[in-house]
Amino acid sequence: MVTYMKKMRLLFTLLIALLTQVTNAQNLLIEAESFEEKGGWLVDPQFVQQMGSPYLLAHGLGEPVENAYTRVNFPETGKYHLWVRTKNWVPGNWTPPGRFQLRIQDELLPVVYGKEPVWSWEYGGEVTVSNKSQKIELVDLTGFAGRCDAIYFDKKKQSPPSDVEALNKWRLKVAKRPADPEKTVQFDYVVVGGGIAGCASAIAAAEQGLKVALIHDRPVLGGNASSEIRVHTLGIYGHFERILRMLDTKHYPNGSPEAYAEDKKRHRNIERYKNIHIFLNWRANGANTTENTIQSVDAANTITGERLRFKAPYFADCTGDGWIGFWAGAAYMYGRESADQFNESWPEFGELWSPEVADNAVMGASVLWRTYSDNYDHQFPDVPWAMEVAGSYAARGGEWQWEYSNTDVHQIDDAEQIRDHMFRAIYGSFANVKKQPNTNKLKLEWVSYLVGKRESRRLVGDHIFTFNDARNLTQFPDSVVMERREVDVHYQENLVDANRPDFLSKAMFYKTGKYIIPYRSLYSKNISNLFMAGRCFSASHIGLGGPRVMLTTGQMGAAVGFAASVCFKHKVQPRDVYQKYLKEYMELIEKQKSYQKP
Amino acid sequence: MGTAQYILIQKISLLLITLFPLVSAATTCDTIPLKVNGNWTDKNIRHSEHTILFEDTLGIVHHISLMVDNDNIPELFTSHIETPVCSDSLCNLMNIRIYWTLSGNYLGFDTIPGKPLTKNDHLNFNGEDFQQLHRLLCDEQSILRRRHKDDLFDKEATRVSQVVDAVTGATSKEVKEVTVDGAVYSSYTIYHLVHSQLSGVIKRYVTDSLLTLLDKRLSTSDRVDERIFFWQQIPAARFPQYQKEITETIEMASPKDRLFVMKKTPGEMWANPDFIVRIAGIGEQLDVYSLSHFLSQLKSTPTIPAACLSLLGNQMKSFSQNQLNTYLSLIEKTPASLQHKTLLEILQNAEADTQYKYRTIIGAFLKNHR
Ligand SMILES: Cc1cc2nc3c(=O)[nH]c(=O)nc-3n(C[C@H](O)[C@H](O)[C@H](O)COP(=O)(O)OP(=O)(O)OC[C@H]3O[C@@H](n4cnc5c(N)ncnc54)[C@H](O)[C@@H]3O)c2cc1C
Repeated sequence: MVTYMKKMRLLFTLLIALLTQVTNAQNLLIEAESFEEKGGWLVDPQFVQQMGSPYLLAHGLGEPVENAYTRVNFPETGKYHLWVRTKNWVPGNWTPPGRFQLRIQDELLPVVYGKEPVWSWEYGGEVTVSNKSQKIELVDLTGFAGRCDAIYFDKKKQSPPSDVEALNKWRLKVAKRPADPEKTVQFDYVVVGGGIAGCASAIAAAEQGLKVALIHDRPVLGGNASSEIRVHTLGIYGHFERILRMLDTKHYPNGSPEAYAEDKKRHRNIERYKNIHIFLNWRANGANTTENTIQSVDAANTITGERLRFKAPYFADCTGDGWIGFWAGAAYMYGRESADQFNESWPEFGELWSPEVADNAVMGASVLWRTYSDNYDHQFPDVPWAMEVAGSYAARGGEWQWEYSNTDVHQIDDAEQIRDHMFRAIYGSFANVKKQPNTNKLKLEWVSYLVGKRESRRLVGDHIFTFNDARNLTQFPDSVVMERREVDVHYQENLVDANRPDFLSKAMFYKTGKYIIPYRSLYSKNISNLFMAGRCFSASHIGLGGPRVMLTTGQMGAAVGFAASVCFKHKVQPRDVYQKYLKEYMELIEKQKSYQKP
Repeated sequence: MGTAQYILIQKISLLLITLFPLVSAATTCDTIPLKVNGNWTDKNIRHSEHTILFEDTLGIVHHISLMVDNDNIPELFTSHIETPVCSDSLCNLMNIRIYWTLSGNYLGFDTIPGKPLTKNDHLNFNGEDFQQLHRLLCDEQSILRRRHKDDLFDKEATRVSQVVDAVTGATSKEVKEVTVDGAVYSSYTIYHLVHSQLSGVIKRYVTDSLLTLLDKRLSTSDRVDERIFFWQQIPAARFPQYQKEITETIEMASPKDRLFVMKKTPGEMWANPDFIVRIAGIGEQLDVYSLSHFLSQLKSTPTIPAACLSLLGNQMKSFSQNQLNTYLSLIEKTPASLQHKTLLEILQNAEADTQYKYRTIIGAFLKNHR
């Protein structure tokens, strides 16, 4: 396997030094995510499409994190105006929780950042730079999710744009970069999103000899199953037990640190494939499409900002959010279809299951968390900014039921708000527990900072998998994925009882036999060379309820990986596999049960 | 019923009436006190000649009768249920009277004279047990709903007893929390009868045979479930006839039902200034789901009256950021509204309020529109 990150480390180190600071004669832009040393700050690229950039997050669970620092070269000495792009993530009548300061060389600047309720350039006043070379540090004051996107110095008092689109253009201009990535790389098959679906897809295609790029925006593979989110894999293996056993997890409780061992297993297994080129910490940000065919996908490194254009004849959208399809103009669905649209009503749960009139409600996102009992006493600070959400609810940990969704928030556009809402629920509920007797030794062990999503965009394929396919056990000639798991759909508790916290959900289960997902649900109906696998496959809201779990989505990944190899061999498009090469494809799928890797 | 038992039941009823303040005089069938009910009527009611006969999955035929008030207006349904409660090996007969609203929703239960509800080892239900059963039956989404009977108990430890509810292993924790202690099978059996089978029969009966007669009764009901049932049954095209009743329902309903009614409300009503001003007037009672729905619905309303925007403006400080953005976009698409003194003052005050979290957003908005 060629891990680009490893091979190009030297080059990157040089690049980081270059990119950390973008200077012109009059100004200097420093991207926080490219700081040389991050200290306790974490790179958070989840919301790039909404707020414009990866940023640094002080995720200290209530204890200020270690400073992040970098060295910069100012174009010249003298006086500069200073701006920091940040946000007060919980505006209200309290001191903002995510506060931090800057230290330049050894001087702590007095201005405290994290005050404005939206992402904006907060003005830091005038600073005098006496030496061109300076060390800049981020000094976290709270440990409660302070965030810094970038720091900007300018001789003129002219703040950078705040509108995201204008800001993106401005960034390119300041960095003197062209609009398109400078470098293009060519593959046979590009998989975007390294969850279980993406990993399985890369393996299947690689085993058939394709040169595969696996683009993933995190440092570890596995998506929701990774140690960063820690959901265990459920479902059955179908035809692909051999591949999926390389990627799955044991059945530990969600949130368990046992997930680290599974990360290692997953990486060890996938790194054995020499023809899978893994791009960790690379986030795709566009799909260049002509005449309904994707020509290339653009991606940027979430730390260095370096950009690449990935060319290939076939692409797989395994991002969960259907990003590649969205950028390419693929048809997609979001929200709950009306009960009549696919005839999915179930009187047992009525409106909660499938509404009479369609709406934009979907299953929500979760942030899992854990506590432990230490040998020592631990204080937990007051968190007045969390109580509006937590109320009097007290808890020592959060499992899958900690879920947030409503008609006010969109699971993609408002993902940062959703994550932050869950932070308030978690810190507030934990503060409430700490007020109870015999909790002095209780301490937060881990709070994820990634939004664990269940449902967002679903790309539309030639077949839309619905509740009826599951309950009627519909048989298909292109039966490549199978599942036995109940159709399980969630609703927010406060929909039924307004007094319940808004961050808890309940599940509704419909028991079924073994149902089949056809291949035709795994490629786009209108983008000719786009496959999709994972929770963004072609399904109705209720249809997604059963097969959204990760062994099933892994089966989808493997199925499209093999399909890509058939496409590649015959130089045809995904739909042709169903129409012209189904026999060959199904034989290849069937063979997987007994297939021994050469 | 023995006198002692009767007095006990009377006492329990009194206790429960105090616990459930909505309960008014329990006047069901003369001397039989209603054990618990969430929303009882103080009207005199009697059995009508309408009876539904229904054979359940066990082959038992249930008689469900419609009760009417003095003016012959249907009030509720009731049935004396006699059903076997069985474990793997033992069965016991359970007798109970159940009341349903006209929409087939559980309303309350009562005991049958001489046939008390019993649990393990023939112990009679006590006051807390009655309440627990009522709580269970009131919960439409109880976890019992999706449990199979075989999954009520942890299979390992088995303890033996003379009566049904004790014959198996320890009750699983979440089942224990919602069922009557020592009467798990009874709780389970009655829950499923009340909610799945009989409730469905009543719904069907009302839809097929009574709906046209109950127009007024259901649309103006004090019971929100009956109103919701009515809105579910009639086509959206008839909604405009019931503007007042729909507004009232929106005020009364749970977030789920409120959202349902608002989604079904046709575009023509959202274009009606009277209606949207009314809804804006109750904006404070709206939850996040329905408020967001209302605001986004207004995006397609051709002309939003300034009064509607002002009423919403009064609640602006509790808006989420998305709601605020939508609200400001509504003002933007109604430029004349900015000439409206009250609305302008609301915005200016919000901008000036240093305690208001989004004052800078309002400030930027006003600056752009000055
Ligand atoms: C709290 C919770 C509990 C759950 N419980 C279970 C359970 O017990 N068992 C189970 O199997 N499933 C469970 N699920 C469901 C399951 O985890 C999800 O449906 C999962 O998303 C399916 O896997 P996936 O591969 O489609 O997506 P993901 O696991 O989300 O993987 C997609 C990956 O793509 C990456 N990505 C996204 N956009 C880009 C981009 N532009 N460029 C590069 N990379 C990108 C993301 O970082 C992500 O890691 C649960 C989900 C949640 C949230």
